[in-house]
Amino acid sequence: MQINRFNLPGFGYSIDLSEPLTFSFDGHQLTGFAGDTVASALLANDIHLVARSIKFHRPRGILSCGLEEPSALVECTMPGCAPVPNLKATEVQLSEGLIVKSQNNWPSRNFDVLGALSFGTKFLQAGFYYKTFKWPNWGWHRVYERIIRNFAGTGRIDTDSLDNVDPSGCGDQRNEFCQILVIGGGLAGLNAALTCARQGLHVVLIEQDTNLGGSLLWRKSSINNTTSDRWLKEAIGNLERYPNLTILTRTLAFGNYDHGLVLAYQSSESGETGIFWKIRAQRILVATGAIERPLVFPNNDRPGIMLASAVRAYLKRYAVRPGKRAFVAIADATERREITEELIEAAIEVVGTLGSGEQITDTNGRRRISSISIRTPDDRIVRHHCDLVCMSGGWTPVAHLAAHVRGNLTLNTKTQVPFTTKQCGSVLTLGGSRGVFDRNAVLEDSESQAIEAMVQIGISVAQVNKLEVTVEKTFVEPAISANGKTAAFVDFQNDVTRADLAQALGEGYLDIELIKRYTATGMGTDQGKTSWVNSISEVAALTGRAPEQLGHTTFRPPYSPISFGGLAGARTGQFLSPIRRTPLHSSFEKLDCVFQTSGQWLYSRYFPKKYETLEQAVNREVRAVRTAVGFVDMSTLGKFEVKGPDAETFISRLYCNNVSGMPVGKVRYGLMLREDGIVFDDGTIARLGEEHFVLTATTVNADAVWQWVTRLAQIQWPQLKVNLTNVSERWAAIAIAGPKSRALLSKLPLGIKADKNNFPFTAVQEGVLCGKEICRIYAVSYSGEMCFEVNIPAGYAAGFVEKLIDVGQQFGITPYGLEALDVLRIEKGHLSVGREIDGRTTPNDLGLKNLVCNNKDFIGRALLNRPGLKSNQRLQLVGLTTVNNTLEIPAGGVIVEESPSKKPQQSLSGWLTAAIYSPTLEIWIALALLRDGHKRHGEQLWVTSPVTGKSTQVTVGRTCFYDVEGIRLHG
Amino acid sequence: MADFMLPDKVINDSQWETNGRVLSVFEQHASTIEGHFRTSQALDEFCQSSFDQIVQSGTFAISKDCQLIRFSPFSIYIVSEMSELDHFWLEFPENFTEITHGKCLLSFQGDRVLAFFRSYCSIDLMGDSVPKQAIVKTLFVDYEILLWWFCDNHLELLIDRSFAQSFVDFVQTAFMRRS
Repeated sequence: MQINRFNLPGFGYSIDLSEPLTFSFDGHQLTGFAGDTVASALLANDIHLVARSIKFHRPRGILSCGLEEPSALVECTMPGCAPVPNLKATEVQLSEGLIVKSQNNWPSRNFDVLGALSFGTKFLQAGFYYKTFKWPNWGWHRVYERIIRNFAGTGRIDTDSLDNVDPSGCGDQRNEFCQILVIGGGLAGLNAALTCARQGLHVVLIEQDTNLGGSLLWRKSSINNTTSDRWLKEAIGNLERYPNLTILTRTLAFGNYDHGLVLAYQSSESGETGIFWKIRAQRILVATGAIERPLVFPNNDRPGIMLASAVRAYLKRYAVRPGKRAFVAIADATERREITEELIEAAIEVVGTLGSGEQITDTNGRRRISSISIRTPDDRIVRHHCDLVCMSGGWTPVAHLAAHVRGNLTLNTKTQVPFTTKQCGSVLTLGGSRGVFDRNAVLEDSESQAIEAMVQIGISVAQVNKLEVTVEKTFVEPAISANGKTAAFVDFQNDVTRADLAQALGEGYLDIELIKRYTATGMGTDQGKTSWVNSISEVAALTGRAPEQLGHTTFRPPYSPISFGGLAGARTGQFLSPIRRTPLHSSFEKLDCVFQTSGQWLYSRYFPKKYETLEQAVNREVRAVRTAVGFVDMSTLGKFEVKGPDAETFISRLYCNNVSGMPVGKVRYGLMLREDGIVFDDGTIARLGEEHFVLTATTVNADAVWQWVTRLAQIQWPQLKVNLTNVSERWAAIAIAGPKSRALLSKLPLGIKADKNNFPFTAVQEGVLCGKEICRIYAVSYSGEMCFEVNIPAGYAAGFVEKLIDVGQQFGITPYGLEALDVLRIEKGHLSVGREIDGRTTPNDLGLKNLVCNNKDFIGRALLNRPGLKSNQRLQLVGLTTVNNTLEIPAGGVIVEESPSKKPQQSLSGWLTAAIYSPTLEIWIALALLRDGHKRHGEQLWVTSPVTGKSTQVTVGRTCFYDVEGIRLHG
Repeated sequence: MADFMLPDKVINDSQWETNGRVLSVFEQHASTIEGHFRTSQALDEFCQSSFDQIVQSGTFAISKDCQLIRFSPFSIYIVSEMSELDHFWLEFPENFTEITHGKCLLSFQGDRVLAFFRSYCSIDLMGDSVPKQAIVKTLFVDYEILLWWFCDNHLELLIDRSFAQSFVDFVQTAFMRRS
């Protein structure tokens, strides 16, 4: 049994004494029990100093018993998992073999070198960094930042250990839908959930703790003439009877969004994985209760100074004595009496209580509190020796979730309790979360709010009288918080003191939002849970303004931290994004293809032979296409059928080039513009019948083009009689390119006439694959060689590829991938979306002016004639070759007029869009956008790479480097 | 030569078991055509004349060995394992286009499979607003699917062919994780 653990009836019902667990803290082997949190287990082992604070490295202990914990941040490592830093010791469930480490100290938490900073609390006040490290002007980036970054922040991610993490073991993301979502499983939440469940509604109840009950778990009281323990037991029993009610424990609602969307994270029992829930509810009942407020007094942050409710919870739930000699500093008489009785019952000596008119002037103790000094009303200083201080400055309703959807909060002047004044969207608050604390009043309030929610969604329920919300208790007596010479902390997590707030005000930061940003109060994972109201109260006292006039800072999700892994859910590894596979994927796997992701597609990159490098493989594939025949997967192109009597009109308006009178059986290159005259996409237009066309779009723009054409058909031109069908997935497309492609085509079972007369360049034929299935063959080329793009039903792709390779053997057929395709298209000067078609270029810029048909109307026509798009200062597409043919053109380079070695600083004349070594021409070539480039053919300029520092002199020329006359295309 | 005229399977039929619960998936090979009509009335008339019934938008019906999936007021899929559908797109060439092979028709069966899918879909499949025999176009996490169901333990869906393998991999992982 641990040193501070006791065994008394009625205590410790959250733990299982029959299941001991071992864990380590800073290398020391310790024990606890199943059901313990790390915090309760550390306290049971008499460990109070848990971490060091962020700024001053002051010793910090355990302040609370829940997610509001600002100080006890630790690093935890589950067996076989990577360490996770910055976890709250009060939230982490103890498990066998858990490794816990304290944070923010060196060499140890007991002796921390940077602990010396705690002597400089006066010196290191708010704004210290801004004021101190600004001279000389180069100092911050070169010196100060590097040093300070080493000390800033808390926790460290062990990147080496991440390599051993199996992403498939990560969490999950799920949806839940309900009529009523109740957030909080305390008295109010349980009663509201029961009220709704009895009416047969689909209710989801979520509770961040392992156990339902909220404060009923540690506070004895009478509810409806029965004990709170019995009421809770009966309530849980009743809940389990309703199949229409779903209970999610260990689930933290961390974000509330419009239209009834709540995000929540459910930790698993083991703590290894979790579920990220997206819950959509018609009405949300926020029953998140209230958080106890710390007192602000000099040296109020020593280990052993705890919230009174936390002390009660550790006693009642975990049978742990947080100390042996306690001092009680609670303003409310009832709570003071209750905790005093419980401390005595647990055999803790109460050395004193804070009386009326008394003030705390200081505390002492190095690693844990040892005494507290009190100034009596007759101005005497009395010192009480103690190892535990139970403090309470009242209760702050947890209004964060309501505030996420802009629920207005008002701070009651008398009680300093913030609460929501009216319903915001689908969110209703109830119980402690709106300042109702009396047990019986909470029951009444939760029932009436639950009924209100049901009525609002159209359920007919007998209405009950609504509780007129009056905040009942006033706990805070500012006189408790005496001023002193030493630091009095308002925000424990960010080390913000009363003096910091005074400093900010003194420097003119009067608005609460500015004060927050200048001092960091209410920032970080704490998000003001324990500091918000105290900050407001302190600022109000310092300025003489009423607290409600100060307003409040903005609460943003997440209410409490969620790990990035939790948010990612199942989207890890191969499930980061859906993967699209082409119909040829399995065939290419057999050909040892190296794939690459291109958008969501897994695309064939290249097909290396044994011991071949990427470069060698690509050069071989390119030569095969230029000299024999190759085939490439083109299935990722968008393919859209346009049918109907107005199909030609529709397409004519869609593309800037002329399609009028295009004969059946022909294919044409098509250029599509945006409304602003800039090139959107390019592709082909094939006419299969008088009223039947097939359009293709680039892989990158396939979805965008489909959305664009459907929008035009449905909204812009509904009067046109056209039907559009996306057949991109229906067809597997295989481009067979090379001088021997026609010979190969003629031997395939496609049911077409493949001779040159019947199937010239830019023709299309429909054939019948093996006499069974329709296929389409387009004589188009992206490589500059004679090419036939065979479209077959996707289901037959694998078999067809086998057949193609079999028949193609005699012609030396070679598969080629995206890399070779890119080389081929650059040699020929073809365009690529994202490179040359970059969202800024016009047809004229790309050298396609002659394609634009000015005798018709089309999208982009009007704005294409803007003077700005006709300026001779525009960047225009040109080809570049090196003056010295042996030199490399640096990829990603920019174009300048003179040698960079002679003139390092000069304005840019353009930049490269593509640069490759041409295995066909055996020189380096490039495409570039050059200012007024079309008029500069023959000039010599320089390409320089700011990254590599390499420069090459180049000659400007036309974009087509290979088969300029197009002889090879026509075969 | 005719060997390769047997269509490829996009996914392998599979069955997974965890915690005593079983989920199976198999791919159905079926002919599919997609039809578009300029008015919902025209589509109503087509359904009435061809199948002797009107299929409401957002629902499905089974008639004459065909499954009619009306996924929008103006559009319909006709799926059939038994009969050839050529005559539709020959008879209504302006309206119908064959998309067989473009979509993958998957059938999922298992204990409470509908509830399992509900956890991952953007719409509440079991909500009151979803009618019987509903066709639901929704996202299953990041995968766009069109699904319908016959009971809590049996549902079918159409997904783009290119996504099918990745989708089934995800479903398997998600199902196994529910342990």
